[in-house]
Amino acid sequence: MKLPALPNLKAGYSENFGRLTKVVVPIGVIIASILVLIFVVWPKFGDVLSLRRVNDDLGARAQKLETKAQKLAGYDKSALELQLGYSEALLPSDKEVFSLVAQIERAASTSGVVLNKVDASPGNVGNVSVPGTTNLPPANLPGAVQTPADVAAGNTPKVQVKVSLSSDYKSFLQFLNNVFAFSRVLVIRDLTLSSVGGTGQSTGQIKTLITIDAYYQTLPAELSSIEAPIDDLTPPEIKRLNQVRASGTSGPPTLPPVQGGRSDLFAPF
Amino acid sequence: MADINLLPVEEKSAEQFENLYKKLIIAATILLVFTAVSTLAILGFFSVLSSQRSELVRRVETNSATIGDLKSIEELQVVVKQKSAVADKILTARSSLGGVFQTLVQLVPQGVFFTDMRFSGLKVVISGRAKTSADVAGLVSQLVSSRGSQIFSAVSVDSLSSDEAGIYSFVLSAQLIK
Repeated sequence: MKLPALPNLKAGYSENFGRLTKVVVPIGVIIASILVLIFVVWPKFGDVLSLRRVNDDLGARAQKLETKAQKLAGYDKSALELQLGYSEALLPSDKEVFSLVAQIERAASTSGVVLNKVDASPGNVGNVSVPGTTNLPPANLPGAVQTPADVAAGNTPKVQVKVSLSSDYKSFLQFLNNVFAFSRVLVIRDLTLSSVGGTGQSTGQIKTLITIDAYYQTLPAELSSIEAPIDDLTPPEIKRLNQVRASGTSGPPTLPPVQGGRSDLFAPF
Repeated sequence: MADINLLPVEEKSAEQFENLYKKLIIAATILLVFTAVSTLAILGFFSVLSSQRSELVRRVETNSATIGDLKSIEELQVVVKQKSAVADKILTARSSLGGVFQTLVQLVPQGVFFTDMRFSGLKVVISGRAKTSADVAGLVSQLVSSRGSQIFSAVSVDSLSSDEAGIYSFVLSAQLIK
């Protein structure tokens, strides 16, 4: 049996130990690098990606807000106030049934027709909504006829006024022109003309029943989000406002004041 | 054959270790450089993006404050826009009855008069009387002519009858063109 000499064995151990200590440093570097990549670089990379997305969103938001702020700064407040008056004449914020009836009376008196009857159901006055009562457009009710104006109006609320007239044909045409000249947006839903002589002979007099839909639009309770873009008026919309301006009206027509105070509530006029 | 296996085993092993060690050093160096560069790059990029974010937040806050100051103008513009847009839509879509009557005056023959007219939505029903059947035919042909087609479509004669005096009574229905 041959045993290795002791000095040779010792030399082998020290050589292996030397080799081991030599590779510890690069292996340590590799392990440390991998740890840094896993625990520092990769999470930070995720953070960078999400930060980029956030910055993109913020950039778009800032751009929108900047554009809106510049646009708002460019508007003339006094011109807008005038335009508000014209748009109120087109679509009042309230039903304004009484001013509409007054306009119809004026149109009748200037065109020479006899106003037999004016029928309206104003409902609740003001913007107070009473539970159980809605201002649904009649065209939205089942069985109602949908006209292009109904489709265009969508859910815009309206009040209905029924007018009965007696006149000759020319006066009726004049009345019709006067009604269409109102600044307020209204649509003639039904129109019935009947000769007074009936089917036999014509006396030149006609009876007319008109159903008028007059639209209104309440003011928005609150503005939409701060980032909502501001839409400019289109040329046709500006034209409509200019037509109102040309007619000299601003806002809904005002009613003449009436004197209050009466000692006997049941005494005739 | 004489050169083979002349190197001692220890030397050969030492040489192999040296080769392995060199490869390890190169791999460690490359990985270290890569880690250092990527760490620096990612941290630098992160700090740039963070400062950009701060700047964007500042811009958003500034513009929000400006818009808040101009809220009264925004309210005016929004209301004017909403009202005039709806008004324009309805007025563009509504029927021009004045124009219908103006056109009808030119189309109706001399020997015809109307006793009843009913416009309900887009539907029109006209009742009238005519001296002769030719007058009724003339009225119908006028209503379906190019001029009449500007105001009415789907013209139909619902009834036609004459009395002992030869006067014709008729009922027409049609669809109003806007």
